[in-house]
Amino acid sequence: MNTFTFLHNILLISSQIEAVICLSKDGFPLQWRTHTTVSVEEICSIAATIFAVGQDYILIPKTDYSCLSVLTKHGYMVTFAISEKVLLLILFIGNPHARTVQSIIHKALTEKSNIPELSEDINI
Amino acid sequence: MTYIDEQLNALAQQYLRQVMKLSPTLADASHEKRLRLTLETAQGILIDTSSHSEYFERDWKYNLIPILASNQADDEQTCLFFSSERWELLAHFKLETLPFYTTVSILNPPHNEYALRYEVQALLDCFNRKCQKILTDFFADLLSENSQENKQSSHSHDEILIIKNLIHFTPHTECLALLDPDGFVLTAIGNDPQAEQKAHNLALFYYRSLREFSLLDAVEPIRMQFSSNHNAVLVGMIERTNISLAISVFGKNAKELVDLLWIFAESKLSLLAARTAKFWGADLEATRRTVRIRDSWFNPPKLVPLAKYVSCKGLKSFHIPTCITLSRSNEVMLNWFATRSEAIHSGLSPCNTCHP
Repeated sequence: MNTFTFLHNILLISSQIEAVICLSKDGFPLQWRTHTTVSVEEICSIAATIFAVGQDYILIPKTDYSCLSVLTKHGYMVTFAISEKVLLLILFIGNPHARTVQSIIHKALTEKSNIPELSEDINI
Repeated sequence: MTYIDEQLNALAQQYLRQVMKLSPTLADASHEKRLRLTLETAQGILIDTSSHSEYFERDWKYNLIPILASNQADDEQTCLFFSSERWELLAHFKLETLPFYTTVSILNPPHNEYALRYEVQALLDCFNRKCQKILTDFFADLLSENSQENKQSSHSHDEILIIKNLIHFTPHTECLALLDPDGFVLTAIGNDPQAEQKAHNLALFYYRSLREFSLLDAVEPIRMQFSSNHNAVLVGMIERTNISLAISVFGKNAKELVDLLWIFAESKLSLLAARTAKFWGADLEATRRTVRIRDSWFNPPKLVPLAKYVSCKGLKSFHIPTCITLSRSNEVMLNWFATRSEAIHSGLSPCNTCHP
């Protein structure tokens, strides 16, 4: 499986998912799948910055699994570390059920072992 | 002092021991660790008696809880699932608007013992009612001054009282803090000796995150949660106020606990603000109605149409609410008209872009 297929499979899980973006921890988008043609650089930069700030201020080791979830009035954003250098950012429209989000994270962490580019392990 | 989550754990273990009085079959299941009691919220499991959770795959259970959750009825409900491999009984109760689910699960259940199902259902019913009572009493006591600790210390705000009582839910709460809009800590309480330092870190995290989000037009975070293997942090604005609440919890169930503590605290604090129109000793301003919403993370926000036609002060034309010329206008400068003739009679002409 390649990263494109992996992201596409996640996008198809729920109609509430607007975009699935693979980005580096520096905030640069690597690959993404969305329903429309959009510019993702800004939102990737914001997500990566807040993720790094959270790890620093909350004193979480960089190798540990961590997940940032943000609820806004129009949508829900989930950013989690899928490998040591890569984050996965999922944007939802509305507020999805918590179990939908958990199952998506579980699926992503399970299937990433089939993708060579995401082969670095993190402690879960 | 016994914390609430310890009370609930002890209750579940007590019921597991008491199944021996119900039937030897259930006693065998309990002894062989095939019997399991859980208490969970929509965010995840709070209490779990099973030490072999890998034997109980929960993927299929997503089909049961959403069924209960989608049913909007306020009365208590039960979901029953019986197969040759497992029995799963799921009950549900609501505390304010927060749903709780209690379950009894038996792996490899006995065959042809149909009467046993009624006993298992009775077990679930008792466990469900007892959990409901403990949680309801705790939630009602959040504004109580009866605890010994509160009598000894003086406090000038009911908000501190709510937070002090909330600490009594679990010993795993590192820090509970109220933050002002500029990122400073108003008060910090916690079981951790360094609770104040942790509160300062959370305040900095929240302040920097808000600054990042301001780059996205009209996207204001309501709540931010950061979780890892061993701890979880939640920071968010309390409804109807401009004060933020930060919670930090450690342990195995940190993510579920922090969600639950947030819901308890936020509902009581926002209710207090609505009732008194004050928060932290200051009068609350009337909240402005939201007139811009987004239906996408990438598209700009759109005006919420309060009427059919709209004009902006200073302009001589009227528009439809989705007109692109209004995308950056200040909402306090807008006038709304129900009909086209009303707009024309006030001296305005139709816009050449949107042709209302």
